[in-house]
Formats: sequence, structure tokens, C-alpha cells
Amino acid sequence: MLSFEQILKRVQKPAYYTGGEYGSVVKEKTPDLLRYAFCFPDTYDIGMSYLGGKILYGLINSMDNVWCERVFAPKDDMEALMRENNLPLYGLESLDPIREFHLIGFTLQTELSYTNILNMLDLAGIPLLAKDRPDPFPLIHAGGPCAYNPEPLADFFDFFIIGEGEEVQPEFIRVCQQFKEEGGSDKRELLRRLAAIEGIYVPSFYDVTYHEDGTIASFTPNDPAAKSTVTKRLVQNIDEIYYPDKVVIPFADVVHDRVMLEVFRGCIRGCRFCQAGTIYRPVREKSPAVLDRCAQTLIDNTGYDEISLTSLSTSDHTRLMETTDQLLSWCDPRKISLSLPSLRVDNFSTELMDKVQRVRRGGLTFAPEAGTQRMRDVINKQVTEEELARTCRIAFEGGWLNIKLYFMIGLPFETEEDVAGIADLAQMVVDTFYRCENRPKGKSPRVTISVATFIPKPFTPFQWAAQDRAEQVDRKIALLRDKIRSRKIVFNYHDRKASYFEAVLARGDRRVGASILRAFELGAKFDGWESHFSLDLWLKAFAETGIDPDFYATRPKARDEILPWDFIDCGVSKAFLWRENERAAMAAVTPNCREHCAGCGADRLTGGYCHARG
Amino acid sequence: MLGVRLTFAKEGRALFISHLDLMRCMSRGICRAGLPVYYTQGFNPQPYLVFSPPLSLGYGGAAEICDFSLLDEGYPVEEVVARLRAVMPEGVRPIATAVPVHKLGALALADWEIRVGAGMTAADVAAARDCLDAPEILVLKKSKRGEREVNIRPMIASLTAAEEGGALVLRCRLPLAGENALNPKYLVEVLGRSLPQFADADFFALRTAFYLEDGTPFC
Ligand code: SF4
Repeated sequence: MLSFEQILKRVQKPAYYTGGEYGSVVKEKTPDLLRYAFCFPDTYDIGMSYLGGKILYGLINSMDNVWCERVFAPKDDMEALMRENNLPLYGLESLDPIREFHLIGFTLQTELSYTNILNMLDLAGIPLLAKDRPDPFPLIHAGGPCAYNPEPLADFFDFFIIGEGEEVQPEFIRVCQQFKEEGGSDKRELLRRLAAIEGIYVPSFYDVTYHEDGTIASFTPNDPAAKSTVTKRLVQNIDEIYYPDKVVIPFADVVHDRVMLEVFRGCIRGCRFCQAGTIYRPVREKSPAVLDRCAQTLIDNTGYDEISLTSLSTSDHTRLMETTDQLLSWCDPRKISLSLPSLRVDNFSTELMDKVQRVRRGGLTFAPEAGTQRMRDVINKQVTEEELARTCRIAFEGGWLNIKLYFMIGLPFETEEDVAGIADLAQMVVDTFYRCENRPKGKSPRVTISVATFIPKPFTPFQWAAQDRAEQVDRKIALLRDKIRSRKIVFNYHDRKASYFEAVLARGDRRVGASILRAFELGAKFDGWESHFSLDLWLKAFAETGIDPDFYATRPKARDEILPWDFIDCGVSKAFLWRENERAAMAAVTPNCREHCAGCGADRLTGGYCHARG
Repeated sequence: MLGVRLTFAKEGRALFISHLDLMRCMSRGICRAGLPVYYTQGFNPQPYLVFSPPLSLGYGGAAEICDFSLLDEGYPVEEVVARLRAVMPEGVRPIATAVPVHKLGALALADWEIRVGAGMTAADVAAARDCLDAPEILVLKKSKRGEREVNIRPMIASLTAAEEGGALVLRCRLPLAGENALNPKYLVEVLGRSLPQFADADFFALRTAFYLEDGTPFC
């Protein structure tokens, strides 16, 4: 048996496993301390880049008698050594095994991490199925965007949090504290109390029946404590909500190692493929004064030299100029740079570019998402070719040479013409460069087209849509490849075949859980990594558990079908989503929320007021 | 400009961080401390820091060095360490700050404390001492120019061996810089190769002090 130190000596990235970073929280282990393991089902460098984790870590640790620790998925070399040496999965702060903790929470950022969750529970020595865990603690739960369809994971988790965590986390932690103090031992009783909290879903309190054709016949509560509809939680006053004043500063290099400043939540756009655009509705902005204060505190307390203004679409902040001016007034002299990762094509300006450019320069990325105007109208991505040309001209004249364009392929109602349009659009950008009077002399541009396969997601107008079959996608990719003529265009497409199984998990029901378990048993993990993912393995798992993946991925769903996630009220109504689906079929554009309220229903959750409409 | 030499320990949870990680950590710590530090010029300005030679992953340092400059000539140097202590992670512990006397480039030798194995007896210690006392110790040494066989015996400036808490403890002075730099792992390797009781023995190396070429303590 090797000691912990001996194990660390033998792994590639020991700094992922030792903790002790500046800002990590250590508390005294008293008898009434509630121990919480915040688990991110991917490796340290990815997990430590996740803003939501930083918020919840700070928030939970700000509570008395609760100690929240971080847990990440070990890489292969570490996992093998942990298994060989019986080292169970532990919290990075105390190095104690998490199976001794009270609460174990996972964040669900992508379906590709589901097998990692099972692997982590297994490494922790915790039974994977909720029904095999009779004791109230450790109580295993999950939240995050993928919790909007929790059904494929229903067998594994005791409960789910639907919606934003800032308010609901302290509420349910207090309920658990109370239960622990009372010395409670009846798990069902604890789950009943939790089910009473708005936004908490206890899957074992519901029964599902199916029609002969496999669609859902009924979804009904089997416990008086269970509500028939679970309404998402959302933060009403974003300016007043908890934001961390310090964060854990990793020793090791991580993906996003900078101050992340959330400038708003939600999005005014209504892109029909985008789940985040729906589930975080309505948009809620932070005011410049609050942002400035948070930024200063975080810079002072972290020592970072970069602030990234994050949101789904940062240039849509109504007072972005005011905010950046205020930030730059002290960032510039302190040699701190600003980055604005999510810029839109239609409101990009020289002024804004100057602000980002003042300090550091990389490539510029835009997401037209589709190649033709018709297709962009179908998905409601309101970006025109002229706007893209104008934006690229500004960028080229400002000295940028590298432009990266994101597209999706396999969208509903897509034709070959739309696919070919991607190449035309990229060519247009190249031509724009050579038409610029003030282009950088003697240089040539580089336009990268990055293409992803479309995956229909719950709570989007495309939730009923069929995913393209692999052969269809292959044909479209070949067509697109063939259309690219210029050597200035780089074509980026990673065909991982993963989008097919991702589509199954995204819109799966409870029965799919058996396939996830089987895939894990067959060795699936890190499904998001090309080096690990195997479609054959998943197909085998589906087959062995009697799941037809096509039923979930490539079958169009009927309007009146009960969808596995229908019991969740995310604010936006199903009627609105269907309306948007019909408008997509007609390539009809729906204006953004600031121009015109489309009556999505999300304002029911904010007392009828919607920030987007004013 | 005011030159400052920080002496710090690299220990505990920070034993397994790389030199690059350490540099980043120090640079951020200095920013958190709000010190008026001198930045490198150019497109991506960073606090200008110079360190004692990197420690291998897993090694400790009891008196590591980081040099930087403050823009404010009159800044009280003694105060710097207190400010840094308040903002560094537990494994990177500031010990003292002073105005540098010697140039970092003049670092030539380092003292090491190497703890090897467990359950060692006096006889094992004696055997180890004899082994490392041989007139010639050949090892396959890696350098930038590839691997070659070298006699490391003349490089060991001094060496004692003792048994402490069941481990063999070697205290030795080894060259630090240039072609002749000697990583303590080679001593352990020699023991493991020559004596069965040290085969696959685990070890922990702690760098405790720095010297100039002539043996003058570095400061
Ligand atoms: S209520 Fe109207 S303005 Fe508000 S998010 Fe919904 S559609 Fe947009």
C-alpha cells in the first residue's frame, strides 16, 4: 500500500489533489458541523474554472456550522492509484473521505459528465442507487442546467435542485441541519421536508407509467409531500444576492484563471436552440456600481490581473459602456486587463473593441450559428450578413487577423443550401479583409469555422425536434468541406459521434438511467473527452438495457406528448415554446425581449415585472 | 528602486506544486499584499520576480528565495514579510525579508536533508555511509545534453548519516548550479542500487540553506 505522498509522487498532476490553495476554507471539526462535498464531475482544471462553484462554495462556507469542500474527478492515473491503494474519494480541504459527509452535491453542466458522477460515487465507496442508501446521510443531490431534465439520473440522486442555487442552498442546508440536530434517522421524513421547499424535486416521490409506444402515459406523485409541478428557483434581486468577495486561487494552471464578474443572468435574445436562454429567463442585470465594487474587492483579494465580464451575451448589458469605463479607470493603472468573452456581432463597436484591446489581444470569436439568413431566422439568431461584415471590418481595421466563427449543423429545417452558406459566409469574411482600406499591410487573415452538431435540448422551442442521423450529418459535413475554397479558411469539426448519445441523455426519461449505469459498468467515463469516448460502448449499454436511442434522439415528438421534464415549471410556458417552434418552421423572427415582449411567461416568477421590458 | 529578498518555506500542501505554480502564486501574493512592486515592461506586464533554482516536485524548501523590487525606495523592508504572511497559502510561508547582499547568480551550493525509508537500524545507517563514502560513485546523470555516466563522489561537499525516527537521514552539501548541479535523488538511487534494504525506499528531500562557491552563507 502506498501512502498519500507516495501516490502523489506517481501522478502527473499532483497539485490537482492536494488542496491547500489560498482562499480555501478550513473549519474546525465540531460535532454539530454539517459536512458538505461540492462535487464537480470533471477534472480540477475544468472544475476550478466554473463560476457557479465559486459562488456556492463561498455562500455555503459563509454559513455557521457548515463546511463545504471541493471534490473533482481524478484523472486516470490518480484514479488507478486510488483504487489500488484503497484511498477513497476525499474533500480537498480536509482530505477526509466524502462518504463521511452529510451532503454531497453535484453540479450538472453537461450530460457528458454523467458517468463521471457514478465513477466518483463509486470511488467514494457510496452505493450508486438511491434505493441502496437507506440512511439519511450522506444525502446525494444535484443542480445546474442539466437538472432541468433530471430524469435520466432519477435512480441515483436523492433530490434535485431546479433553478438558481443562491437562495435554495441555504434553505435546504438549514433543514438538514435541523434534522441532524434532532437526531432524525428516517430518510423519507427528511426528503418530505425537503420536498416542501420550492425548487426541490425528489424523484422517488413520483411514479411514471408508459404507453405501449414507449411515450409517457402518466407522471404522478406517490407521496403527499410531493407537488405535481416543481417550479424553478430564481434570484429576484440580482444586485443584492451573495457574490463571493474572495475565491480559491489554484496553484495549478486551470482553464479560466481570472476574476469572473457575472454582469447579468439570463438573456434577452430567444435563440431557439439555446437552453440557457430559456431557463435563466427573465434577464436580470447587475448595476455598474455593484459590478465595480465586486471587481475591486475581488482584485484586491485574489491578486489576479484579469477580469472577465461573463454572461450569456455581455454586449447586451444596457450599461456596458458605463461599466467598462468605470472598471478601466482603475484597472489600467493597475495593469489589470478586461476580457469580454461573449460579444455579439450586431452590437460590436470600435469603442468596445478599444476597451478590450487596451490590454491584451487574442483572436475574436463570433457565433453566427448558421450560414444563411433563412436559417438564422429559423433559429432566431438575429444577425445579418451586413452586420457580420461590418464587425469584421472594424476588427480587421483594428489590427485583428484571426476571426473564429461558430456554427451548428443539423438544425431543424436545415437544407443543403443552408449548409453551403456556412462556407459562403466565411468566404465573405475573407473578402471583407481584402476590401478593407486600412487592413494590416502585408498580412493575411485567418477565418476559422468551428462546427458543432446540433443537439435538441429540453425547454427550447426545438425540444420536440428530431436530431439528424449520423449519415445526414456526414453528408452535410462533406458538402461543406467541399465548398471551402480559400486557404485562409480553417475548417474545424470534431466528429465525436458523442452528440448522438448526448441527445439521448438530454431528452431521456427514467428508463435511460439503467443505460448510464450499464455504460459506467462497461467502463465509460470522461465521455466529453475524445480520448475516452466510445459510441460502441454506449450502443452496447443501450442495447443491454433495452433502450432504443433513436426513440430519444431522432424521433420527432408530438405536440401532446408528455415530455419527461414537463413536471418542471421553468417560467417559460410550454405554449410559448410550441409557438416559437411553429414560427421556426415559417422562418419567422421573434424580436428580442427589449424590443418587444413575446409573452414567454417567465415574468410570472418575478411578480409580473420583467427587467427586459422595463 | 528597492531590492527585496524574501526567504520563504515551501512545505506541506505546497510540496507538490511546480515551479511555474510557485511563481504564479508568489506574483499573486505580492499583488494581494498591495506592495508597490516593479513590473516587467512590455505587452503583458508581470511583477518581476527571480527565484532560487526550482525544486523537484515533492521536495521541500526551508529557506527558498524570491527576489523582487519595490518602486518606493523608502519602503520598510521588514514590513514586507508581515504583509506577505497575511496573504500567502499555508504551504508557501514567508520567513523574512531583507535587502539582498549577494547576487542570486552567485548561488553555488545547497544544504539538503534527505530522509530515506523507514524501520532503519544503526547497521543500515553505517552501510549507507560506507556506500556513499566510496572513492567513486558512478551514476547515469541526466543533463540538457543527454544522459551520461558521471562520478558524483567529488561533487558531494560534505555528508553525514544518522538514524532519526526510523529513517535514514542524510545531511549533505551539494552543488546547485551549472553542469555539476546534483539532485539529491541520485544519492538515494545509489543506495537503492547497492543495498537491498534501500531498494525502492521512499525519500523526502528538504533544501535547508544556500552558499556561495567558497562556502559563505548566502544572504
Ligand atoms: S416576459 Fe416578455 S420580456 Fe420578459 S423574458 Fe419573457 S418574453 Fe422576454
